[in-house]
Amino acid sequence: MLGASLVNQARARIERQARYATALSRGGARASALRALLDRACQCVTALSRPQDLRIPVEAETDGDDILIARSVELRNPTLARDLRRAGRLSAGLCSLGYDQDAAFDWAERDYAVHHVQTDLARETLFAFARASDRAFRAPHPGWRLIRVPVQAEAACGERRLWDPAAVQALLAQFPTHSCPVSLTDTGFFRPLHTVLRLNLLLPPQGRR
Amino acid sequence: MLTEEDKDDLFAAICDGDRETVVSLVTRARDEGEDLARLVKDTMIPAMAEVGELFSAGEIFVPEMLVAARAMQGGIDIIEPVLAATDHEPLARVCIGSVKGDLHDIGKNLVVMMLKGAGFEVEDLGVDVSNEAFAAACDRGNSVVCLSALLTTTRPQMVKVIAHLKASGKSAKVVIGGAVVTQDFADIIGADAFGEDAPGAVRAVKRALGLAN
Repeated sequence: MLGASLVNQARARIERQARYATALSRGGARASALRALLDRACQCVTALSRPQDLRIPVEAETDGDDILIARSVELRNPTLARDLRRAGRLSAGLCSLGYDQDAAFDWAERDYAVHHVQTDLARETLFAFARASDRAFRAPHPGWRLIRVPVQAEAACGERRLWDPAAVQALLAQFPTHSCPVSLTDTGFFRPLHTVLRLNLLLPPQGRR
Repeated sequence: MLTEEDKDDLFAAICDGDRETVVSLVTRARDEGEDLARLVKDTMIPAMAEVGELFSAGEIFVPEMLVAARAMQGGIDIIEPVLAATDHEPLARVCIGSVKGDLHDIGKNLVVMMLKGAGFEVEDLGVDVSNEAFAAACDRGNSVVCLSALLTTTRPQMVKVIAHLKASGKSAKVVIGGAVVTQDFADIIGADAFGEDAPGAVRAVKRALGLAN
């Protein structure tokens, strides 16, 4: 079960987002209806979540500004290369709420509005879960910094840079298959959908930039 | 029968997302023998159109559109079985799905709600929908196919759906939308229309069918 505090934390964040905050602050029937949707969404996320939190150390070799992670993912990142040479430790973290959208839609009795709010809430809950996981991972290392390392594809047709599905797949393959509850489609979607994979650098105090 | 004031209240209740009032007024209209098709056409659909316009103008956000659409659906759920027993025809039959390989449904679902609120009959094919499933939906009488894609990795699948529909002789109009889709892309791949957001998708479907400019 997912801790109620994480779901409540996610709900509080959502209620502060302009699109929700504006509707809630206007009061009246709209705000009441929205609160009811948020209540249902909280129940849904709490009922369906089967949280998984995995972390593994990841090997990284540097060659100048180039980095080869887990012998499969190539990155060019001068700052990361320098930090790795300064005793930085690289790890991959995987957090999943452990349920998929079709299960949530069924739980909501195919109510599109409940399902939509559930999706917003699940995303925030997942991020709250990942932040909590990162804090717990860093806790035994007072004074160390935990830095998120992006693994991005080249810009496609001038559009925003996205995580490279092939690199994500290579990182995911580092997790022991018997304990990893997550897979990735060829098109770059996690199954279950509410999953986040991150590459973190743990940097000792003397290694700080 | 509902008075003009009652109809104004129904309009306002949909806009405000007051599902309870919508259900109450529509139930009364049904029980008192109101012309429900006309109530939908003259009061309820214009209310959702107003909600769409407010959203497009930036005066309300998605959550407010959601509660309005849900209130509207509360009324439609009461009216639909009554209309189904008559020769009432929807504005058109539309199918919608996220293309093969795409597992996101949030944008698609918003479009489903807004299309229903505009008087269309909508067949939701879900996510990760194969080309063959879109073609089969055309065979079931859908005259518009709406395609959604979230990522650049799934956007090329839209090209394949259009090619498949053409190759299998389907005459349905194709409307596309999604986070990575633009009007230029729609023009390049030969889609009939592009919807920039959920209310925009409704306008795009109407344009594709020649129901609006």
